Amino acid sequence: MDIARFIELGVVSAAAAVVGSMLGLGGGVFLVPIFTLFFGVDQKLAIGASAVAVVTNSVVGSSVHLRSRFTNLRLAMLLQVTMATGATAGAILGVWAPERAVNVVFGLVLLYAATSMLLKRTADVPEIEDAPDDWGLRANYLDPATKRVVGYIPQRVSAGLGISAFAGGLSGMLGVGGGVIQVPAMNLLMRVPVKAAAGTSSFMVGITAIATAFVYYAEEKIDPAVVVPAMIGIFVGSQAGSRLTRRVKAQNLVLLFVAILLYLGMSLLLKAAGVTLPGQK
Amino acid sequence: MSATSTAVNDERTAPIYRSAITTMTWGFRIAAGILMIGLVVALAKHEELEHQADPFADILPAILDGKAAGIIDLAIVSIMLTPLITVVTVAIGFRRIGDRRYTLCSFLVLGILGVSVLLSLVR
Repeated sequence: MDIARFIELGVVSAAAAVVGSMLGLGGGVFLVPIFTLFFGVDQKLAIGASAVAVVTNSVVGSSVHLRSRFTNLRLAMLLQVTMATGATAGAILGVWAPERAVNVVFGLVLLYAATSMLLKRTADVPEIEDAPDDWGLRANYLDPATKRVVGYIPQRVSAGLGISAFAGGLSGMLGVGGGVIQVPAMNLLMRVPVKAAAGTSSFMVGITAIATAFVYYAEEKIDPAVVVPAMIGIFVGSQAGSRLTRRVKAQNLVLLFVAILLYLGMSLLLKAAGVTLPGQK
Repeated sequence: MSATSTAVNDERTAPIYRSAITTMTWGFRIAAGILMIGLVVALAKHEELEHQADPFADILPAILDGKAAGIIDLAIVSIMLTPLITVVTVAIGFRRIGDRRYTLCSFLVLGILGVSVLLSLVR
């Protein structure tokens, strides 16, 4: 076993997960650009490793959200129908897509994530008492911060299904969770409170990522020498990140994180244009 | 929103949440345990990590041959199967409480995931 490389990949994955969990993005969104740009890992192998790491992160994180009832299982299963379809299609497309095209899409997703972070694309949703609930999605949870029960009825379900298909497609193509699109969509469009949106998304991304992971497994793009350190690093980093989030205000670091996202996004776009920045492979 | 209807809804879905939590928790524990064993065997036998996971059919023979690579592949497959099994438990849970719409949704999701699983089986 090449222990030095194993540790390098593990530490980088852990760092990505620390930053990702502080931002509420997961960590998958950083893994593929870092692995490909700085470690010379083949893009498809990096996507396969990222998908398995996202599954690991979701399996660990979802239990907490399920216990607190932040996860709305009915909403998750409903949106998952289009998200899993999108992910399977996206993964099949991604595994065959030219590296340059994937770099362009990934670069644009990172720039979008940076912009939405600057604009803080979440909102406090007023409780909806008597809206129609045609899909039977009404749910509630106890908010530990305010010690009160928050009830909600997701709205604009058809639009939510459409956006989930899009988020799934990107997730499948890039090996990321898709929470960067799913959480703001549930919150701003469907009027789901942020904690419920994050809890439901955390459960959904694991299911979405297995659609990707199995497609990459079929195409022999799962490299245990990359996957295992990524899995361990993401697990350790997300645990550390969630503890750190309670002590450090992520808002204080938001500009630094935005700069990292912009740098990685621009690097991928430049790489697609044939330009490699110093220190990159 | 009616507090009574919400409470009744919570009570009905509570077993589904419990079974999902149990599946996730044990799925992770089992996968992590298998992975640790695989890494220890790899270190003890000075075995390099493979650069390609074995097809499903070759994993068991590799484990029986005492190869760390087979054990590590099994750990990766175990963690990948955990959310899939969770969807199965959620589908069964919705069926038990007579929620036809979300039983159907859960089985649809399983069908879609089945396509990608089948792709990896026919590899």
